[in-house]
Amino acid sequence: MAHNDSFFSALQQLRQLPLDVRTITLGINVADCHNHSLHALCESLYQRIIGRAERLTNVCGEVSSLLGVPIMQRRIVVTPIDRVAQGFDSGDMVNVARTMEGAAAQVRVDRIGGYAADVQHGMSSSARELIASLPTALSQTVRVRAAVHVGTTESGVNMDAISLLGRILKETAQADAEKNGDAAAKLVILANNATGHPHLTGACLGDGWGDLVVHVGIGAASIIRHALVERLAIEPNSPLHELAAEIQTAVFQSTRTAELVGREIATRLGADFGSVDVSLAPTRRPDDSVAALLSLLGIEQVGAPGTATALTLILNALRAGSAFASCSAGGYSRIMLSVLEDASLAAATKSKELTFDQLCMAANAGSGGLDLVSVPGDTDVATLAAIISDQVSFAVLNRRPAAIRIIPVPGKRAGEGVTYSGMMNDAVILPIRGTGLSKEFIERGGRLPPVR
Amino acid sequence: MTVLAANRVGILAALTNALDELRGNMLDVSQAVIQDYFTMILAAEFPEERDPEVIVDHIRAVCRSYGAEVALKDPDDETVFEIPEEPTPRQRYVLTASGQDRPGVLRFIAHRLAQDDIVLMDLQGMRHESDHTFLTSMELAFPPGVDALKLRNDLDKEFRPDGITIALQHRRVLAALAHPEPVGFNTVSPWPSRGTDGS
Repeated sequence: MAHNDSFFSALQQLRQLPLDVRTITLGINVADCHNHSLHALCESLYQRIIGRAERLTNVCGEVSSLLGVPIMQRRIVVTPIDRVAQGFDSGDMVNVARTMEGAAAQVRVDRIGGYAADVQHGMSSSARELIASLPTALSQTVRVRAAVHVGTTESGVNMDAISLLGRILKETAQADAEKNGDAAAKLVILANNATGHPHLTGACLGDGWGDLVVHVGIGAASIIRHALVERLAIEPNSPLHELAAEIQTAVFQSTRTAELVGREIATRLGADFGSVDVSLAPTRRPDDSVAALLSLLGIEQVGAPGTATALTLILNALRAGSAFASCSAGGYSRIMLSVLEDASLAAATKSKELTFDQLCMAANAGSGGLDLVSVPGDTDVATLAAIISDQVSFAVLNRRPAAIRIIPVPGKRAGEGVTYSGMMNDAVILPIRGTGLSKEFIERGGRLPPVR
Repeated sequence: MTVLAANRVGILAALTNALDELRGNMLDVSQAVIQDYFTMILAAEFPEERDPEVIVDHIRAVCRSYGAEVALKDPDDETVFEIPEEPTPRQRYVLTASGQDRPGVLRFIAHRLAQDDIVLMDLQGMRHESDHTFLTSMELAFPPGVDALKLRNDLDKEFRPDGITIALQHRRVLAALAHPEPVGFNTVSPWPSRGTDGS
């Protein structure tokens, strides 16, 4: 024989690797676009985004064709708008959001983030106006993603802001009632996001980055699933540490590929290369979900006892693999249990196998908080705020970032089905136990002191 | 020069002995064992006065016990080569195809590659007799402007119904996966180029 089997088994392992890049995010500094005239501000913001990002889509296409690696989504993030647009009222803020939408559409990106406010200590007037504009801004735009950063481990949590956000969240969903509150899915509430986590929905260009920076995000679910399936075909009784090693290797491979893609794009755009982020985010491919991985590891249903352990195992392997693969691995890795974007989680809500409490538990083991969970539209404002504050507190206590997206679906009750277009799957609204019992606590307002 | 002989211990020693006695010097070589045959393709230089017939006869004689067959060509006498004045810069890729064996796979791939002016640099392949599956891997040099993603998708569309999987990876991706040092250290020019730009 011309070749021994080991040569071919090495090729065999490489041949089907589902290597792809989930997101390319271009961070653009727009801080100097500030102007006291709304028209001038919007014009310079628009021109800045177009000027810096007009080649992004083409360059992504070129590099994708050259390296043979598909790129799923292109995003832009800008400097937090509460810093750029100061001295305007909420109506003016909506115009800023529309400007961002227009620029994003012009350069053909999927999302634009940075419509964001930082209120961890207190609320500036521009942050207040931006938050007040959210229901209109998010229901009138498609690509704009908004974020409000409410607390960190070091500085504590702004409970007044969370209380306000409970109301805003409900109003935002209400403003987009005909689309089942889709606008609320575009608002993320963040904790421990001190440096501007560039890979989250609604992320902004954080502090300390240059004027133009390219970040690359990987959804590792498919490559990990591939690795686990191959391993289990050879040895169905593999112990956990061997499966962890498989996950680590798969993550290494996808991180390497993604960094190569990201660096090539950064070079062609004349931008800095920022960070690589490996997260377990669902994709459109069937079986690309955390639920599928858990079932390969031997947990039949998300939320069953053992879920937290399995998620911890996956997350650790994810971090170890990416840290070894790249000096630019961001350390933001997390497991996204984005219910509405994850076909198998959405299906689990339909079959009533997945409850809100189980999701809260799973969300806090290795994940970044409740993500894209639809709740009954009549959930009271204080309960929504309390759900957010619980998630934020877990994150603050465990010194990890959190990103919370909840959709109070207008006019729908627990157990009713809900349908969305685009990336999101059909799901069933999860009942929440103990609604209306935290009103007094939330209405006290104030601050949660720093965690020592 | 090509040499085809029985694959037994000592064949390389005999062959190199013969070359040495002819005062030949190897410039480039590729060797494989195919089924039970030792095969070698080599480029060598010999003293000006050495007659090609003498070279072939001497190698045959020295390697007689291995049943060696030798073919010799002088590139200076060839008229089939096209040597472009400025070589096109090319990108290197590795294409692998595997799955259930059926006739015509390589033919289809080769025609598709020729359409896009893609040059074959290396080809390896093997069939597993036990389950009639095959695996082939080829190194390719793409001219500028070929969409690798599209090529892979085209091939995938053709072969997927037959259960044959296609993968196409840029050399730099393979280098990034194979070497543990940081991306950028190893991925600029992973292979010394042979008349093509390996970047």
